[in-house]
Amino acid sequence: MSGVNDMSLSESGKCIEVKQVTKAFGKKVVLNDVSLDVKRGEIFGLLGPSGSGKTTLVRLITGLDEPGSGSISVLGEQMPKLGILSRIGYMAQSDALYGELSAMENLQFFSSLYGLRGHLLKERIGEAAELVKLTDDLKKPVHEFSGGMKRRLSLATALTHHPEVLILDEPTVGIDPVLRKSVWKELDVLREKGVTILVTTHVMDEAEKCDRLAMIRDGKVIALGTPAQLKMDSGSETMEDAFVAYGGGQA
Amino acid sequence: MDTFDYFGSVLVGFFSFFFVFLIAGVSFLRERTTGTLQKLLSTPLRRWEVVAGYLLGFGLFTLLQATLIAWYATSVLGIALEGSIFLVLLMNLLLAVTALTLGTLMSAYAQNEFQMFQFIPLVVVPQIFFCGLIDLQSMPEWLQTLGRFLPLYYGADALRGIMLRGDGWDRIWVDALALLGFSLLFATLNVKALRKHRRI
Repeated sequence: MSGVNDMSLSESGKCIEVKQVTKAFGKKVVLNDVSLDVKRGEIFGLLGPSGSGKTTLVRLITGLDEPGSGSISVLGEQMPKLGILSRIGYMAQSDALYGELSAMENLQFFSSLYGLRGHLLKERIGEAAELVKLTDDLKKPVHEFSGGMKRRLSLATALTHHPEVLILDEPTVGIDPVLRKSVWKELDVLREKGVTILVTTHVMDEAEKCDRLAMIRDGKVIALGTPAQLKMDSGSETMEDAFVAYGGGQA
Repeated sequence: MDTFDYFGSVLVGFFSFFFVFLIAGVSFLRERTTGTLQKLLSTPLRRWEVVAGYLLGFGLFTLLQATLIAWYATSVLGIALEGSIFLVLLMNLLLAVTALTLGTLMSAYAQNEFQMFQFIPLVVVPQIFFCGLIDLQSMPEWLQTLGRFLPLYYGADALRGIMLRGDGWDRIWVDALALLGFSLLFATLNVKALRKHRRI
């Protein structure tokens, strides 16, 4: 993808840097001294049960919220920063789509917020729709879409502006296994193109597909490394066993 | 004075206000509950641009609605119109914009559509009392001044003047200014309220 090859910002090869981040809502501490780095061009997974603080961390990285203490930088810039948002593609846990509009209109609307117009807009929409295999359904209103189609359309709306960083909050939740596979294939394609991808999941076998991952529980990173490394170090056969071994308790 | 004309002139403003308040409130609430607001704020869009966009988009439709209500009231129902129809439209539009900004602001404090409707007795009903439909002569004076803090008071005052007495701009500009002030205040608070969803 264009713009992605610009390596000037990657002095350290780090795309996302989270340093000792703590975040509390009222008295409830949601993130407790979280530190992690995401390298350029990798798929990084945040693995943890619901309520572990994944979504909060992702929202902080996207700049939707500010950490209580600690710092977060994306592409070399301290977050939150408005200018960086155009280089991030964000897909929230809920399908943020307008049901009354067609898939095409949704894509046009969200893409135009990134300043895409005219010919380029059309080209990018065609490209994104192709990637998530919705080309034939673009004219349909979104309320007629199945859950899986909505999920893929959500992904497409995060792609049209060619983000350098893709942040996906539970992209495969509620999708059948076949589609889940195809979504992961799409993520692989994007990585090949140089996009850095941060993905949250609570599905253990999905975590295996990440280059590196952080296990999160109760707002703390309990383990960090490649899937193979994590399994080996904990002497576990599966990701699930590894999660339990690292103090994840009932996974 | 004809009672129907008297009530009619005020109701023209009231309906503009009421419908826009509800529709704007519920649709902004839906942006929040469906997650599209968060999606909007994950783009480089500024907070004030979101509020301004809502004003522009809805403003267009409220202008249409105001025209329809004013036309229906004067042409079909035959409510008196001594002054200029354009001034009626202008006041209706200003009332609608106030309702729009107030509706979206209130929606920030509602969790669902049902709670949005609960704002009706809180926000809309008091305005009916104080907009001149009901004679408040016997009400304690300090309570009467409460009306001065409600947008519909000014809208109704101007509409009565235009439609019944044929008032011109020189008589209603204070009302227009008041409504503009309310709109600006509510819109600014809106931009502030959005901070809850994105800090910058």
